[in-house]
Amino acid sequence: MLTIANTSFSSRLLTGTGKFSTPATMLDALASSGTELVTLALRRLDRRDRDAIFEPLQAAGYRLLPNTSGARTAEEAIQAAQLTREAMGTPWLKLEIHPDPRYLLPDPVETLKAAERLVQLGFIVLPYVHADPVLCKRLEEVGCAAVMPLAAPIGSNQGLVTAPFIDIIIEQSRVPVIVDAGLGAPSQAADAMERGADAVLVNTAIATATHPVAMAAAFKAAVEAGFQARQAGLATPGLRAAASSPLTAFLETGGDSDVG
Amino acid sequence: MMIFCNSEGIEVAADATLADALASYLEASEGPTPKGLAVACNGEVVPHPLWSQRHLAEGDRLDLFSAVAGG
Repeated sequence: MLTIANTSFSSRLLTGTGKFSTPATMLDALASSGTELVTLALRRLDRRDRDAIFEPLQAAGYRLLPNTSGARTAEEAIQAAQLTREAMGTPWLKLEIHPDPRYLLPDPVETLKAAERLVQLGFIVLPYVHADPVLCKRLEEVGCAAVMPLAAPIGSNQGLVTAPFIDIIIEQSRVPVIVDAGLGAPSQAADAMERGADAVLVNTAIATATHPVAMAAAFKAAVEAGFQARQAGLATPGLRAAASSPLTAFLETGGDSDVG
Repeated sequence: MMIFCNSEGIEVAADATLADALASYLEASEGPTPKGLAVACNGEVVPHPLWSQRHLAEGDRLDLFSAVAGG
């Protein structure tokens, strides 16, 4: 079981709710993914274009993880957090502060500042950060419930380009490590899990697939396979061959074959 | 009196509460207020249970936020 802030989850796949073609497709894909924790955002209300996804998600029993997307500073993130807690009735928070719209890379200074304050205010803080092992330790020290290092820029589908640093974060962390952003294929999610990530968060790769419901099922299977492989203990890579079959010659007489 | 909802001026009764203003703005006189909303009055977040108790004053500025899809 994955445990974050004393809450247990059977699924190690967190999913986002953005970019789906319709709310119905989103709900079907979430069901197919087996996820129990889903992200949402908060926006200034447009009364002519209501996005009525909150009630269906709540009715379906998902635990909600609102984000602070749109915040550019710690101060804005703290205000957004207070609004999300009020709107969605949960202290859980995906803290994300990315001032640059081109790469959406998280601001580490503002994120650490906001995380410290939000923990004091009683939020369960899961910060979205670059795959920076030092920053992840600092966030753990100020009381974050998990860390969410990025695999690659949000929505880029580049895969686990930060792998060596994710490995260090996993080795050092005493809170769950959730690899977030940039995972474009189930194999990449499996890779993250095989490396020892506690969970992954996927949105774009599912939502923008040709068949989102089927892709959600593929990610579910990949995350489970990667986790099981990690638990089973992966074999060590080596440069030289190591025979899997006995090297007893039976086609030739006299002397051993060197064919395995 | 005139108050502002997301910078849009709306006319409400002189004794209107925040809940009244919200219903008027959303034209949601039928049924309960939709869920997944947060409201700040003059920059300060007002918790749900206080919406029907909070009386508004001329020129009050309400900022309304809503849950939307996101990653």
